[in-house]
Amino acid sequence: MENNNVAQNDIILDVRHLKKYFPVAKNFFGKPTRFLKAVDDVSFTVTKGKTIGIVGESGCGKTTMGRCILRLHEITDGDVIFNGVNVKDLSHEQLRKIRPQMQMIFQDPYSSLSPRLPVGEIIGEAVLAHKLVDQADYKDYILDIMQKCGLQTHYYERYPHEFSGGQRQRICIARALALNPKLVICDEPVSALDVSIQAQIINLLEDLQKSFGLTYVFISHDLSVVEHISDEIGVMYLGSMVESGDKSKVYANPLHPYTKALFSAVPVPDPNVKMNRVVLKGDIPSPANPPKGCKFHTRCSYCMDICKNVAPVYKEYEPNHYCACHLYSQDQ
Amino acid sequence: MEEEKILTPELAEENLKKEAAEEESLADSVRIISPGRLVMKRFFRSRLSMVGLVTLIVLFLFAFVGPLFSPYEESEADSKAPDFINETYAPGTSAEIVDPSDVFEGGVIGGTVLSGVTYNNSNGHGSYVKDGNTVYFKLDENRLVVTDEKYSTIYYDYFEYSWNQPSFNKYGAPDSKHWLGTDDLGLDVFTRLMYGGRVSLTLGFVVVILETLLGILFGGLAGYFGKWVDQLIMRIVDIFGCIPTMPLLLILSEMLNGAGVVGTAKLYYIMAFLTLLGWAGIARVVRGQILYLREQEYMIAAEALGLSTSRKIIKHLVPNVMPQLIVQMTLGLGSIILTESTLSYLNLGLDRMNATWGTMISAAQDPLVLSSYPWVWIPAGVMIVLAVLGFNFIGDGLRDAFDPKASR
Repeated sequence: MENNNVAQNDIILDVRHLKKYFPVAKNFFGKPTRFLKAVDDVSFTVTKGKTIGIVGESGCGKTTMGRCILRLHEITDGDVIFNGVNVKDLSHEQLRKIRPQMQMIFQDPYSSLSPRLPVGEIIGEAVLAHKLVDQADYKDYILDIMQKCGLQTHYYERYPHEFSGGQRQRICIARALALNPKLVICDEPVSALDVSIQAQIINLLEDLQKSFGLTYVFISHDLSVVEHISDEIGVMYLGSMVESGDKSKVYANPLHPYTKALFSAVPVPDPNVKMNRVVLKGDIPSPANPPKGCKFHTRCSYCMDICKNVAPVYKEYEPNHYCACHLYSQDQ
Repeated sequence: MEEEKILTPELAEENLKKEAAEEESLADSVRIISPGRLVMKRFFRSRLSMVGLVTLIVLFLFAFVGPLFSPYEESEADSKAPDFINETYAPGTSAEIVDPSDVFEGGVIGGTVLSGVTYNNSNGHGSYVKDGNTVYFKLDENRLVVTDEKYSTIYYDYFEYSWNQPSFNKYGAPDSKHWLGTDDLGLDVFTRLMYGGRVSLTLGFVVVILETLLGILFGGLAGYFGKWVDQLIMRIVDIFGCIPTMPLLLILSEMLNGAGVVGTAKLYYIMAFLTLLGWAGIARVVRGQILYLREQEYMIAAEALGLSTSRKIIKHLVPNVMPQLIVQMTLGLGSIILTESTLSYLNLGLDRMNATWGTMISAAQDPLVLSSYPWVWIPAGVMIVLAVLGFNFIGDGLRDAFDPKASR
């Protein structure tokens, strides 16, 4: 019990039943009649200094969820409790004040930098806006951050168009870290980069995590990257969390059929190993019109009658390993 | 044959150091190129835009500096030209009058032709001497009325009178004194061309700048805040898009004529009308651009950084909208100059006495001028073509410079 309390204090981000519905159809009076459920009842917690990896295929709501946590999208329902503050209830001005503490690294380093500002200003403008350092120390502070992120100091007055993708991503990381955040949401930060650069950026993120004591929510569709960097893993399918838990537990013993299929698709760097792939039939259903019952039942090879009608409950099956699947609820 | 070097760890490290040093020195020697400078570089490399730029610089010098060197004034005739329509006569104009006192009852026309008449232009009163007696008269509409010495009691009325036209250089052909000849009032065409350029170019710039400011304001509001603000503003823009511009301008100018607005005041009104009818297009462009930019990740990043709304707009949105706007503005300049000259051609622009390129061309409405005195109207036409072409070349050049992928 006491142990549990300590754990509670260490939790920096607590997402509870987060929902984000986009209206897709409106009636004559402008009242929404149909919704696209991009994020549908997602709950998880992140411990200070740890990394949670969020995986799932394209369009499953990973990015939307990340943006909802920062309230870059308005939250439809549920709570996002960051450091004891419910982000959902903050006013516009309060939100602006708290923003430096929770930052985001974007997927595309090409479109996430304004082409008309020099690097120094891109990294530093928010530092100045929030008055995090004195005017006198400002430039040294920015140069220091740049060096820590592997950028040469003479880049200070350069413009983004002069940089490669990897360097641009370093600029994005520097911009986020200059605000001295507690939580960083990495929204597929390496997906747009080639493999050699990916490793550099991942290592940089790990180094920075150690030196700044950062907490990451690492969104990616690349399972090997997530396995490398995460302490915990959450698997999303069609806006819902289907499985989550300790990385080693999820990787060693994936419970949900979707997780199994996903992990079986990771290539093994050995030509002699015959891959035992679970190939999913069909496409991901539209989140505007999700299947009844278990959202995965249309593509699941273990589909039972109950799956088609009743949505499975998201439950803890072993310590710190959650899953939502009828296969296991029958056992217990 | 040279012996191949074996790559030892020491050598490798040395190589690395050397490379690093080279990179460092390279970094120092490379100039920092801002996006703006990049655009200018591409712009100045394009031959067509340079032609446009040079044309416009010459035109501007011609219009704004040229008049300082001209020996003539904007509305100063070579020798004073009377305006017969408005009965304005220069002092010393002589007249021929058929003396009404020689009219016999019964209406036989006759009489002595007189000269040496004193005529007061301001109230139409005059007198002449006949047989030692002073005969007083006044001009009443088209009649010459003989009166008593107080110009009150009417003795006779008679209408056959004519004023001697002093000689002036009407429709003078181009020569060394008047490089492009003179027009129907004996005014120097070359000088009027310069003054006309002032009005046409200034009007274009003022209208475009006002239009753009309005467009940025309303388009920006619509694009940034969206929802009902967007709905409201864009429906107003739609309404402005439905208004047939030219007929409305004609009506408005006619109303100005009716209200007796003349001279510079009329110029301001025309500027206001053109602005009012032009901002909607710019607002649409700005809104579209902002809607596009708002979805860019760097705008979402700006939100995530917690920047204030004003900073987001001024530092992130406006600089990224400017390229499209500058192109729009330059291309708009040409069309505004065309609209102004169309209005002037239809005699609905500025007055005759304020030279603009449009009013100068309108002289060609007289078939005689059109066929016999081409120097009166061709130069103004050439000027308009040059100015519009110049602005369009620059606009195209800027567009290519801002977006090199589109052209190549």
